[in-house]
Amino acid sequence: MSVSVSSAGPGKTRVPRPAQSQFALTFRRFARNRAALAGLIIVGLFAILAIFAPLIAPQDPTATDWGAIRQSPSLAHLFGTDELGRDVFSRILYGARASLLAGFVSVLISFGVGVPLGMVAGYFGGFLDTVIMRVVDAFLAIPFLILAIALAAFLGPSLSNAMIAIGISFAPVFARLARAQTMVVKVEEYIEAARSIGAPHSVILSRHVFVNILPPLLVQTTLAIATAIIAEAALGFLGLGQQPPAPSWGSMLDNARASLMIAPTMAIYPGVAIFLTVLGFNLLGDGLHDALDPKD
Amino acid sequence: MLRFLANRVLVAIPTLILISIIVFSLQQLLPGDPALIIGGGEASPEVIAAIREEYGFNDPLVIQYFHWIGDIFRGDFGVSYRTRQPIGPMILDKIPVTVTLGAAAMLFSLVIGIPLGILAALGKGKGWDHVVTVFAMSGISIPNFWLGIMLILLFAVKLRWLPAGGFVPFTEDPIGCLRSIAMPAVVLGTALAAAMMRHTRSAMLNILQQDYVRTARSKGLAERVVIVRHAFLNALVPIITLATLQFGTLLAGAVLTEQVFSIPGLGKMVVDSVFNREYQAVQAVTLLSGVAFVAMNLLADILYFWANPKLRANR
Repeated sequence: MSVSVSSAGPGKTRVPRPAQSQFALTFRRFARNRAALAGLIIVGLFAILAIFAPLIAPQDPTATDWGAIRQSPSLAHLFGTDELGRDVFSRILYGARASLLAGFVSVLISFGVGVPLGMVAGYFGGFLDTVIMRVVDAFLAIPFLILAIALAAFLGPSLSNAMIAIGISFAPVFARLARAQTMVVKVEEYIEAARSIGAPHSVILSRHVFVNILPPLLVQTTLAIATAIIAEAALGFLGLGQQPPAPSWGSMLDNARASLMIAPTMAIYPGVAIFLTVLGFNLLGDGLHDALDPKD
Repeated sequence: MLRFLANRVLVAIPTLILISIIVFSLQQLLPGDPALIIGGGEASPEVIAAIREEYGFNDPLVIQYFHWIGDIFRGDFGVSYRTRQPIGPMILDKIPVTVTLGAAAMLFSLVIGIPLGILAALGKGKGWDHVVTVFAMSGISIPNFWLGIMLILLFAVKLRWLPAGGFVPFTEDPIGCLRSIAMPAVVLGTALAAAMMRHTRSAMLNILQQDYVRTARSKGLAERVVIVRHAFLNALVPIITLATLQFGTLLAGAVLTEQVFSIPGLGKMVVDSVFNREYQAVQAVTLLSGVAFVAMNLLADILYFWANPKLRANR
């Protein structure tokens, strides 16, 4: 890969190339990682499919057709039809919306709840730290999916409650990471400098600490989206996520399981969709990790 | 050792108390009056009032919590709203099923994950390493309930080698038990095997760079001896710790695996309880899984202590 800095003409003295910015360095490292790029392409593709689902989908994902139930893939129905004669391809496209939405929103909740708590605990330390981290530890002790199932059960089954349940269950992971990173950053000289010119804690936390702990949080966010998408599919599979007739990959798999003997192909597509999306986010997260922290 | 253990137990107590408060608080999330849910839509106001009295819903929350936790300490997890059966013995019945499944999955993940992790570390950057990396990444990304459905499709529906679901206790029919547990163990153990592979690989890579490994090589020991006695035995410490800490993942994965294969364990009980609105049973299993996780953490600490001669010498 060649990078031309400036087309210095004859006679001009060439200025030495300026040191690359941290961002450019990270970007170059990321762009060299083929697995990470593959992850980015997969995620981008599913995002496009989700956004433009109404334009791409050949049929209404909830339209039933009793004359065409459990059909094998054909030109009329690329991925076949389900037990109510609905077009599986259209349902996969619309299901991408539910999955990606759940992935992003639940991680947004985890981030929004966990990061401020972790930053406050790590920055102030002492009693506040002890109290916050004890609660975080208690949440972490309950297996993630069991907590999410219990929360979704008590809140009532729906896509939005599933997102809240996953978001809360995953928040402790962000709190732990934010705390650890804050403790590393808070002893840096620039924080001391900010403090010495009288910057209030809120400004130090939001302008200085947060910006500097963002890279590892970004890696965690990408990997958390992968976990959240699997969790949403799992809750949907158990009947605690998106409610029928709206399509979601998890509930499609649950329906497919019931028709496994008669229409085995129904079970293949939603699973492949979940697998690829999750794989995409995992590859992307690993790539970001390697690009941001090449030491490992 | 005793002091170390006592210290760990003391640290675990506040966590356990907080877990119980979290699990108790779940009840407050229920939309509407729990008495109405227990009584059903047609219950008269008198019946609802009686239910409120019986379950103590009129008491302040703090009192309700102490009643609840007090009962649990006496082994009373409440009574099923539907069948009027006590929940405690129901859970006791399910534990051996889930433990059998979990142990089989753990065994699968160790047998697959550790050797492949070692192979990947020894051939870093070469063929095996790539295969293992791809396998590990896929294992982490594949939804286990889908893997289960695909295995049923292949081994039960197409080839008819294995039963599609159900569970046979080992004490009744060992062969039948193995047949019924084979697919679920692979399904539950795959993500764990992937994690084990990645972990073994990085632990081995770290240790192969240590001075004592170089010393062992330079004094002319056979490569096999260096790898097994000097490298692997030392890598085992972090691997054991990981295996113990994966307990939570295993339990959560069991919920889906048991659902796919209709295995009557704790996981299936949670899901059935959710749909039967047996909220006390959901709380009981959630609480137990948290407590069990804390116990496993304690076990990991002890194993770590026991497996690490440096720590033992400092006691």
